[in-house]
Amino acid sequence: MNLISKSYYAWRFLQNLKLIWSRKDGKAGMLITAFIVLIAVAAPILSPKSPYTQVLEDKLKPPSLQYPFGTDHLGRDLMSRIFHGARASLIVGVFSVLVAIVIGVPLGLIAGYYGGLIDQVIEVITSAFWSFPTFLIALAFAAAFGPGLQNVLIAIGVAWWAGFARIVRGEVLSLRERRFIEAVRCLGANDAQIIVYHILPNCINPLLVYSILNIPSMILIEASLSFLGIGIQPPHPSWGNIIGSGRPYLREAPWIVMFPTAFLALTLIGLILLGDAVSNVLNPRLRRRMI
Amino acid sequence: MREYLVKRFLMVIPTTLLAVFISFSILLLTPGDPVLLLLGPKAPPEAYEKLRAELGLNLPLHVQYFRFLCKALTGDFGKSLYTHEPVITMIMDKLPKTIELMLAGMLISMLLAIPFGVISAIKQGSIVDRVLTSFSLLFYATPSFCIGLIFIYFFSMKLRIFPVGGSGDIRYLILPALVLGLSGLALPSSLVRSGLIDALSQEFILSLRARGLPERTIVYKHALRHALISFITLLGLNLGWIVGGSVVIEMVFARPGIGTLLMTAIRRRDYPVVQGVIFMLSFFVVIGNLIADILYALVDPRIRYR
Amino acid sequence: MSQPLLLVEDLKTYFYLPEGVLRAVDGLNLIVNRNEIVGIIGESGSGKTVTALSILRIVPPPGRIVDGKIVFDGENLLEKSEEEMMKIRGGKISMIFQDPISSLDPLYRVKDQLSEVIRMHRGLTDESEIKEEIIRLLSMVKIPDPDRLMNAYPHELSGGMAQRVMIAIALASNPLLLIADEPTSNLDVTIQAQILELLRELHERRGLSILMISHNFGVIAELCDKVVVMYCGEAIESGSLIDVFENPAHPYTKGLLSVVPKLHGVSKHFETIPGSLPNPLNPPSGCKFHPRCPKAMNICRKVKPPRCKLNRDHVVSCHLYT
Repeated sequence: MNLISKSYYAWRFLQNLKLIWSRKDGKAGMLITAFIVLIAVAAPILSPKSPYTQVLEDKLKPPSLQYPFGTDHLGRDLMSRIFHGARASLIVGVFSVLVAIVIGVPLGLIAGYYGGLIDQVIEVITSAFWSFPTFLIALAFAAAFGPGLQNVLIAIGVAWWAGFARIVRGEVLSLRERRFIEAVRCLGANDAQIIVYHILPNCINPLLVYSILNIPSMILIEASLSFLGIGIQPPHPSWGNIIGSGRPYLREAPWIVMFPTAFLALTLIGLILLGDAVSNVLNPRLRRRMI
Repeated sequence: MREYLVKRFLMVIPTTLLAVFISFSILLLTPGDPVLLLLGPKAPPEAYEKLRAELGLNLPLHVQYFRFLCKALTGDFGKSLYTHEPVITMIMDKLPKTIELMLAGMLISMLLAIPFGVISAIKQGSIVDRVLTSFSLLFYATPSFCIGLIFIYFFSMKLRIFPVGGSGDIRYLILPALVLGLSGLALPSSLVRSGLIDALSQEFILSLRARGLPERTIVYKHALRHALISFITLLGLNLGWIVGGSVVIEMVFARPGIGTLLMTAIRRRDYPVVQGVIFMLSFFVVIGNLIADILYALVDPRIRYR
Repeated sequence: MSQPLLLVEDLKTYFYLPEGVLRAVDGLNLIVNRNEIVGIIGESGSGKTVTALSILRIVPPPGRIVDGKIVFDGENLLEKSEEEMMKIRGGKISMIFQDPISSLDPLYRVKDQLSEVIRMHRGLTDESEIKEEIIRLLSMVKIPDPDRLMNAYPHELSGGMAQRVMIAIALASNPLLLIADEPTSNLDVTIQAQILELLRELHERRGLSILMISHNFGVIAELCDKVVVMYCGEAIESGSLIDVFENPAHPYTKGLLSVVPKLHGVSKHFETIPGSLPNPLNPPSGCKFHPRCPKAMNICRKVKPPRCKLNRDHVVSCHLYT
């Protein structure tokens, strides 16, 4: 891709950003997401204390000036833990998608491009994965791999690859028959070049939309797995495991459950709104109601 | 119609195979030697060899898978490492409570989704629509275990209306089922809503109006049936959500079902139990999807001829 | 002269969009007498369909009828309640649409859709009576094997069959007026001819008045007694078929007719009307056609042209004839 097409894509990207910003849901989504990302990235700076330091005399204290969100059962500052917990969610959002893409995109490409028996086989496998509840798959693989951030990422990625494969396969199928592919082939391009330079760029938009639409669910699943104890393990903070650890103390220290819940809900709402806006902008549907 | 059903039943096979594969691979993917994991480090060396041979771990992979498949389909998942009970008995013992929860959750979710969706669609764009949509969105964005804990805090601890956890009569069912249903509300109700709006914007609606049919007939007899199509497709998806969600809800409310069985087994590394429960849950999903697809064919005559 | 069946006076239907007010119908005058077939001809976007929807008062929001009178069979339809209108729709006035298969609910069989209107407008409740009526209606529209076809779903019908079914549904209540919005545009030419033939027969045998909307001259010429030419939401010329087609008065009509290639004679080039349809959100001042009119005068830019009577039926809105 030369300079001209690069700058064209850049311009298009900026235009889309502007369109997303002009929508109410897009604006709210972008603001909320930016806020959470900021917290995650700047967590060490923003946190009043370390998320790991235990001050046992101060355990289960309600919100105060010293501990703005209160403390947990080991005397750790909840605010710091929550801010650092945002990192876990951010990492999950980004890297689980990457895992799913790494598995799904090549499979989709091969299935669509080569067709025939390979396509049939991959299709059957994809359909089987697609009809499965992602939580169940992630749960099973998390149970198998064992706890920890890395394993959670892989488990969630494995649960989600089918959608990505389907999208890519669809794009490949629709592009494969177009004239310009023939033309480029006549000019001497081989399969790999065609795939990389001509087919993949067209997949970016739908893949982007699909990713953003599914990131909220991925974050939710990580939170659930951590809550159940098979995701990110304490003392590393994740909103899910903070809530999990706060459960026995619900009656006397409800803030341990309430604050992470608020952050989780806020993050998900922001991402869902952003996802709606992005999908509406990048997937131009016909405006209704032609007279 | 018959062709479609045959094709649909055939699709059960790969999905079941996948379910088996997932449960099978759990033991495989666990880092470490399976036999060591199953027996623990202190058993005599002959015991390891014996178990290895018994489980066929020396055989090629696809043979192992096949053996597992046959056993799974007959319900033989071996014995629990802890209680040495047959896994299948443990599952069957706890199953009713879970099914109770799943059915109740699904019922609540559907009972709420249809009126929410219809009202939102009819009053599209109005305050009512926005309130209902925000309500659903809020419950969707808040994880079910959070909703569960918050409900427990307010309704059980503070207001003392419902028991905090455990099982028993219907009072123990209401809160968990409510939470399960509410958390899975957003998708079905938005599908009903968009399905209805879509249906109402189709060309034949104008023609129906031109025939003088009252608005109520148009909405409830014609448009809603179209909207229900997308709703029924979601039934299958919702089922997946409900099945997965019930595991979490059972843990939150300390209900003795296969969800809690699963989590305890995971914690104790009781792999036969884990495999058995995962397979069972997956099986529900497969059957549920099948039912949803059949319902879909019943409602939409166009599908039968695909 | 007896009272006209349908009299539309100065009808204005506007669409209130976020971009502005779209004047789909902007002062339309139209008369349909009893036992008459009137055609509305115009380009896409001239407001033909909205006119039809306005008569039945089923204009979808954000559209609204803003002004005018629609007098049908002696009564002003714009003053009627919604309930009264529902009786008239599919009752005394029926409408058929352009894409017949899309106009039928795909989830219901033909017989169900027919029995629905039969129950509604004829008040029949007995199953066997209804079935008889269904067969009678299907035979009336020349459907072979009505017994078998009535069990079909819309997607199983061909375009021609579906349109016949639509006509059957429209006729279920024995209407006085049938509004046909481009009923043959989606059909093959041979089927088109059949449907037009069917409509003519129904008109002759049952005295059914038809308001035929089309952009196709051939269709209009085939069927209609009178013609109304629409441009930008207004009727710029109307009259008998012969008057309008052989002695077109308005420059737009002349332009339209000259665009039709002639079979005889050699045309050196195709005439076209220069320019394009004006933006309905911001139409030109005065006479809406003036930017494209070869005979435009100064006054055309400033003042809306009055309606000039050229003979008994022939009316044209143009400054050339004042």
